[in-house]
Amino acid sequence: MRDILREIADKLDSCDREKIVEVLEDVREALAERFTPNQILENGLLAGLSRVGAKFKAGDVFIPEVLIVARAVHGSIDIMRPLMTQGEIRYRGRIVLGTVKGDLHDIGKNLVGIMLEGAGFEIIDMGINVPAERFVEAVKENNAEVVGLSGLLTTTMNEMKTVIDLFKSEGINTKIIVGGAPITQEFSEKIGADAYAPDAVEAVEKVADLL
Amino acid sequence: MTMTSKKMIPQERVSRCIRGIKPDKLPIVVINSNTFMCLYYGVSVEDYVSKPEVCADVNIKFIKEFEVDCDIVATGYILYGAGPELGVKWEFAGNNFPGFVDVPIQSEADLDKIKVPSEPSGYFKNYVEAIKIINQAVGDTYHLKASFLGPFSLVCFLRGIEETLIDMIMNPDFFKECMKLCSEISVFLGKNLLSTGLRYPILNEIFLSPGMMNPDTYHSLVAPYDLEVQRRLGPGIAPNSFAFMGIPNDQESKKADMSLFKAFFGVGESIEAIKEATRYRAAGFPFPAAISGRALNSWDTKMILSFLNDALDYLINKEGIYPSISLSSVQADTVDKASDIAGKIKAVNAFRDEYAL
Repeated sequence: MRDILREIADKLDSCDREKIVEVLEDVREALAERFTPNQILENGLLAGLSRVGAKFKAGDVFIPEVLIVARAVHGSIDIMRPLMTQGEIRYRGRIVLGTVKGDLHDIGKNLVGIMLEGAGFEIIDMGINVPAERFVEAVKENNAEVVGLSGLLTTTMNEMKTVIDLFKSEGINTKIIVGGAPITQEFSEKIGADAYAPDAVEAVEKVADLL
Repeated sequence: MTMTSKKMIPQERVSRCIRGIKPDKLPIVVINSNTFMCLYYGVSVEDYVSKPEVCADVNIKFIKEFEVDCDIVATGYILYGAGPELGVKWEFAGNNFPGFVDVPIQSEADLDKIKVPSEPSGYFKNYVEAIKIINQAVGDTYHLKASFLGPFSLVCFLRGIEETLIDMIMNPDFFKECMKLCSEISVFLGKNLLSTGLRYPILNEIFLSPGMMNPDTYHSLVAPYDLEVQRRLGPGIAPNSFAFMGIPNDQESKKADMSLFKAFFGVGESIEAIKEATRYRAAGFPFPAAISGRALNSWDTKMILSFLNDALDYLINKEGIYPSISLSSVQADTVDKASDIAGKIKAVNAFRDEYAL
């Protein structure tokens, strides 16, 4: 008997163009076979994405492969969305992500978001060039448990301290993780961040530790 | 008097190191950034990108004040050819340098809208003018370089980075069409840089780095276009693409190029990375003892000089290499930080003058 959810996971894991294209149709079939969106998400889509994440960490696949898998996962979620009821998806946590003010780079942040989604976290993506106040607003509006700050430029890394200081001055205890090319463990400690991740895969582990 | 006791001009100093010959003192190579220059010399970002004479003036001042030997001049991605003139939408984030936020190639149907320019316009024209002025002022003494975008990076600017990476796998025929068009644009950009009198521009694949894509993917889908651009500009003219992806079918070279990338940009400031990379070179540059932008920002002067001392001692005494002292990214976010960094660069210069070869 065909294990369609396993097939979905395997096709995503293959990172093969022909097989990735079939995933959307497989998701429709799975729905027709009365699998719930949550079952499809957890046992098919996120299972596959998680395996790709492990390969990415090992250096067996690269950013293009992660992106095509993420695109297929998001497309599948869009198919299922009308059928999802409030609270049906059980997330491990809610994360606000953004590139700090003055910085317009987003590919690193987007990769982190993909990996976190793959690990079962809900992502509120604030985009790029995000002022400190907007991070605070987003956390309050969404009851987010973690904030992820991304930055590529040496000139904007100090903005991360501005964000952290604002959270402290407002008395908000949300955990803050930082990352990006110029960021180091030493820098993250110096500015008072709760965690630092050198890459998207480690970000998942660190966020899980924070919660 | 020996050859090495005669004071050399920067060009000669750099040339000797590239050829493995002892210079009078080690050259300083800088990948300068607009952010630092704008803050340090008190010019606005808008003037820097819009007024060639302003851009040229701060670059010339920098080269002379800090006595660098090799400088990558007039830096600023908006200037490199993928600007509004090609339909790329840029956004200025406050007084910071802009980033691109919208792209003209949203679908395959948009490809026909992009034309290879016949002459420079917009920001790129300003860039060409600025380089001409800089080269005329100091090009016979200092070793000057400037970047023009390679085909892959042009596609990323015109299509978006993520879409480009996805196209490589999901729509390779479209990706190749984009690369073919952008190879033509890249040749146009390179020829215009050569028209300034600059001899060895850098074919800059700014969006490539080791680990971004499978090196085999680079060699099959990107390298042929880079090589074609280099061929059309002339042998040895634009030898670099800074992809650091090694040689096809040679795993060892891929690892080594990763080390060279780290050494070149000072990633992690690691003597280990330097050791691994010494068999390789980025064409047209001496082997670098490099300090990253992050380190230049966050390390104190003592730490910077200590690392450089260790790196130079290793390279010269153990490897027999005459390296450059490379500041791989000079950036600042405030006037005070720019002053602080200026002090560090001058300290590096003084250290270089005193370092006995």
